[in-house]
Amino acid sequence: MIFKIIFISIFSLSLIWGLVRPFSSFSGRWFLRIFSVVGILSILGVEYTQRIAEFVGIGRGADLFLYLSLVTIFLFIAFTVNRFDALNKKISTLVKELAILSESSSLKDEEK
Amino acid sequence: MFDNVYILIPVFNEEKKIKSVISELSSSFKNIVAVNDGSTDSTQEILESLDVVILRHSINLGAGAAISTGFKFIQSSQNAHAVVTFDADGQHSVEDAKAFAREILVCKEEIIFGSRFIKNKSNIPIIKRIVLSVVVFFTNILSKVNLSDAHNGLKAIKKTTLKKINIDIDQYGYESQIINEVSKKGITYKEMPTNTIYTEYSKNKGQKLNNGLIILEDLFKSRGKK
Repeated sequence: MIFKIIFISIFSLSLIWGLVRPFSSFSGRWFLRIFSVVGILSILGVEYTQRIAEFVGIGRGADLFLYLSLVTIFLFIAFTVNRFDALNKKISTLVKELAILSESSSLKDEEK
Repeated sequence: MFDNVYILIPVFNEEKKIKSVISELSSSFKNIVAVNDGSTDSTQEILESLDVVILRHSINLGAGAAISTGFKFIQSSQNAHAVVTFDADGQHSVEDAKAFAREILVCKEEIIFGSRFIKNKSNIPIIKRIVLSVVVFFTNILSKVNLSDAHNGLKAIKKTTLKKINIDIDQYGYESQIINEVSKKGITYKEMPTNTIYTEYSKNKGQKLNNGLIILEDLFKSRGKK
């Protein structure tokens, strides 16, 4: 029983997070909401996830979770790599600008 | 003495060679811009003792980033008419740089690519020659250009052309990106032979052979960009 409560709390929190947190990604926001609802339903009664799994044509509720988990992992990796690339670009731009700015200011100092 | 053709040298940990390279160049070129790409040895102190403009990256980004910084700086230099890019490891000859500088001032083409394959092909170590040929083959197909060498650090570019070339690949793949930009923007180009001197030092400092794969990956990436 205690594990049920813990997991329902975790999924509820992630649902609230998905609802209130201003995610920049529309797809990320909806993915978290749907995943949390499916998570809560699977704990309250396996038959709910079973029905959803049958509805989407995946046979078993457990498989539905497995597929969702795999998609989540791949999406997480893809988003993380993109974030790193974006961050690298920002750092690179900053370093280049700084190099030119510091040279320009030293040239101005010399002219004075 | 060239005073309106700038020499641009990306520099990373070149304390052994940089002084001789710049000293040789400074007898023919008045304006030399060295981009210290986050060197951790005494390169910065050596550069400060020489009569060059130093642009300093506080961290190491890569040769592409250093070239990009140099291009931006030279674009704002009023008396610059053209730029010649030159490697810091001493593998390029000053005579070639002078020939490129003379030619870029008078030719109608906007960019001159150096090629190791027009003359002195036998200077290139055999494995490097094979890898380079593969890179050139794919570069020509993907970029729809006709070059005999794709990754030669010696190039001459007119100042007016610099603003057309957008480099955002920080590592060695920037060379492929320049070729892509040339192709996409219809920049006119030609090739001139270079006499590249491969010493043990320059072989250790230059691109590693497995970088060929990274360069190809960068080429595909830059093709995907608008």
